[in-house]
Amino acid sequence: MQKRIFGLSLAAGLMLTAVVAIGLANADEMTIGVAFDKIEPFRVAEKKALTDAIAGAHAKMVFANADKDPQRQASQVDSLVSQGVTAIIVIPWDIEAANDLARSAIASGIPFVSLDQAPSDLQSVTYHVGGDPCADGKVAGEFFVKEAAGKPFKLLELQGGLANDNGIRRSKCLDEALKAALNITIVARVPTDWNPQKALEGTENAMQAHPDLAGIYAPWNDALQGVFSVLKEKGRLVPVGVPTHIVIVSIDGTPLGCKAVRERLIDLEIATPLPEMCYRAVVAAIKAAGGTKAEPHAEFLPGIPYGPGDVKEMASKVWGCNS
Amino acid sequence: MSNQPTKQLRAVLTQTVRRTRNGTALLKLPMLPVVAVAFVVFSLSLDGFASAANLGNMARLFAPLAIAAIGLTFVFLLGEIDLSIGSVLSLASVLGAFVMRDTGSVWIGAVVMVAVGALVGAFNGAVVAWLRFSPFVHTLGVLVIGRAIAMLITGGHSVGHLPPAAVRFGRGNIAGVTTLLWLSVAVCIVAHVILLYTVTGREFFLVGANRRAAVFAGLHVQRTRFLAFLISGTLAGLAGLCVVLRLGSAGPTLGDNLLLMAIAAVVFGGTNVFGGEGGVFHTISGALAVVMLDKGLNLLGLAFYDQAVVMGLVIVFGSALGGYLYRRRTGPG
Repeated sequence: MQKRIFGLSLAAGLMLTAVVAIGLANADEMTIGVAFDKIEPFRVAEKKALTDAIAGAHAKMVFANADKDPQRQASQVDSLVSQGVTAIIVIPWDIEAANDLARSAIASGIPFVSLDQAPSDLQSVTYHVGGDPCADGKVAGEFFVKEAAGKPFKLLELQGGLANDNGIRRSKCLDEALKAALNITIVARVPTDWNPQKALEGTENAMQAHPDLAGIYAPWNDALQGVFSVLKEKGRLVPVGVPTHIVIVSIDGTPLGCKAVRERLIDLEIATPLPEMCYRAVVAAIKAAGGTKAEPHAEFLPGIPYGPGDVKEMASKVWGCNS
Repeated sequence: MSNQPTKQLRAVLTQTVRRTRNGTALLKLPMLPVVAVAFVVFSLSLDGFASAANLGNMARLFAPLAIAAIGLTFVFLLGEIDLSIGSVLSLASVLGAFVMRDTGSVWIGAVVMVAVGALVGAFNGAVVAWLRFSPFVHTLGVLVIGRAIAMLITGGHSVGHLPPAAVRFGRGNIAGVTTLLWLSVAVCIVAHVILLYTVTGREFFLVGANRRAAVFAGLHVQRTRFLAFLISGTLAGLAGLCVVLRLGSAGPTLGDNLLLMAIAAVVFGGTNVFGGEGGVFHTISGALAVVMLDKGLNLLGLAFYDQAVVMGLVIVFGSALGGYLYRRRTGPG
């Protein structure tokens, strides 16, 4: 009996001690705290770009992932502040809560840089850099208008996370660009919460109800997995130029998106300038920690549109084509 | 016919209440050793883990979780479940935040949040107790509806621009202790007193231990079921208030992670999922374990999913150890 108690205690103790030892293995002077809202393929690429940029600056990175929980993110930022990191780079999950988090960090003398998702009050942060979800949505909308060429055109709009600023604005600005094109009918708007499975279900339902569907808007690359799966099953996964092809526009610029463009399966991809965004965030964070004000205060980098026709020329500018 | 169950119930009640009142139930908290070991290990190995700033940070994370989990404890004591607390928190928080923002009054907004929680809780309770709907199915439906309504009325956006007093309160201290922690302590004391020192409270244990016997014994079974869901909803609304005061905003997905965390706190704390056994301090110890491991592992710089694996392992080993020690103390059976 006593042996079992001892064994269990030892196991629990050893586990904690091992974890502690790993955590304490390194210590450096300049530390950048990085707090992400979630982890998915795009964020993994962002994390790698930040890691490279921070290592390039001979600094250490402390990373935290809130897993879509604003409370957890607030707590993680508070921890970074109490740890006394040099600067904090945050991808906010809740763009309202980010304002107070930023003010609190800055009041403690720690620069707060927001990345990718802008907080609702840009003045609250030290610096912001991100993509331009509205510009990307508009480019997508204008492309559909051009492709429809005045003829009746049924479009399926997959939506990203509707509790998320990028998701909301990619959708809203697409709708604005389509407003004047009365020949384009959005047959379904499917909120997916960035979930490829929901994109699959939404596409399946739309294809069933509208076999003459002409276009699909997939505002993030991971949705393509679900979309392609349905199109393949229906015999509609055919290259651009084939009469039965469905026009597809996507956003992100991941390796998956680039591959789809190279295989001529999608018509337009709008690549977020991810490495540039991350690099600017790190530079601004380090500069601000040294007392230099970030100028401009906020930057929105528009996506890079490319398609099967110009993928060879554009590949060097698209991060996913070089990964 | 009705004498035998009544005797059994009285025996269960007397034993449970006596054990809890005289403190021996405190020893039956399987997460207590984990909390103690984790605190010592993290304090010795992490600079600043036991600092006032970090303890305050943990307290702000602990308060809403503990409050929601205490509410859920009442439901679990009956051997039932309330899956709607996460979406009740989201719905209550966005409605209250709208009121807070538009009236400029933190108090009115706070009342609205608690009232919304109470309303949904009362609805759940009435449907489960008197219409005899399955709690699992019904509260699952309310989970989906509540989240959808919160999403519809906000358009997915967070509700911000709350009065500055809200965040001041949420991040502030009273007598050097985080304000939200005081709130959770108050809820804990009230809930504990209700459960162990009132007739209504004791009925939760009796109904949970043997519902059929409780019916024969003439206890207020349906009223008790109604009250459990009412308390659960009300405390989910109050937990929502804590989160809003802490973040300075509310959102339609605010409560998404709460349900699992609260269930974890209740179950890890040692409350029996089949009802009749458990209590407020069990849940508090479970919530403490969840928060302490979460913060400690995060401060160690472990990746999110590595943290989840370690937390799971520590909880499994810890609760096994605690359970074993308890059985050894109390003897077989």
